[in-house]
Amino acid sequence: MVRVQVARKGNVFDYWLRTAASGIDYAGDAIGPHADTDRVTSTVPTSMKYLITRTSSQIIRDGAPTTPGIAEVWVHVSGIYLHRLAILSTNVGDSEHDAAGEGGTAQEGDALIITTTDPSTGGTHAYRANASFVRFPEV
Amino acid sequence: MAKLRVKVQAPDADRDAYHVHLPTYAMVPGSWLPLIPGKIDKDGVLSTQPDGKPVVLSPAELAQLTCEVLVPDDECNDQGQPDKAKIRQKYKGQPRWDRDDVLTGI
Repeated sequence: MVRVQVARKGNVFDYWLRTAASGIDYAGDAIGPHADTDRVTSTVPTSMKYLITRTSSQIIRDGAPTTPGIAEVWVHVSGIYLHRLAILSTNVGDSEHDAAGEGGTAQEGDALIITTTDPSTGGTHAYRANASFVRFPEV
Repeated sequence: MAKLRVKVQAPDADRDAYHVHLPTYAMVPGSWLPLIPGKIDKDGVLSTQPDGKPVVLSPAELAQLTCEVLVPDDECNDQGQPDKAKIRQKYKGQPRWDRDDVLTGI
């Protein structure tokens, strides 16, 4: 009888198993007009990498403006966009959403950031945005 | 996570948006202060005034600008305040964070 053993030492999945999935998340309702603002930031620690697995975002017009502007939310790694979502609406309840599977990595010192902006006059939006990633040691 | 009130920084050479000078944080919605009608709302600095002119904060207004943030426990001391030694160790060798003045002015 032949017994087959699978050598796991050095297997890439070891790294996945060592660290739990993590993420950043922003959820704000009734957010008024504002200039570009970095709402959430996660800087990659030294000797670590992030494997970014998924990003998603949603904007909902939840308060009517006097003058509408293009509200946006974007998820990026130190300015490199993973995705960017925009809406221009005066109608309460209008929404846009987006989700994407990602294959990118962020290196030590990179910052994974969620930024929002709304140049409207008056009115509010609800924002939802997140990015999921797996953290693993640099090898 | 520790919740604390910190200064908000204006856009600069490193970040082209209002931000907090901490490596990892999450802003608490509705926590911005001071509230100045036509300039600063509970969730940020307005981009334009009601008359359509861009909002420009004076240095005094900018110096008072704060919001609440959540910060990871492994970057805080036992009192829930950002810890310079822990941040420098976690981000060792990164020019923006591994420096003596890393928490100055936050």
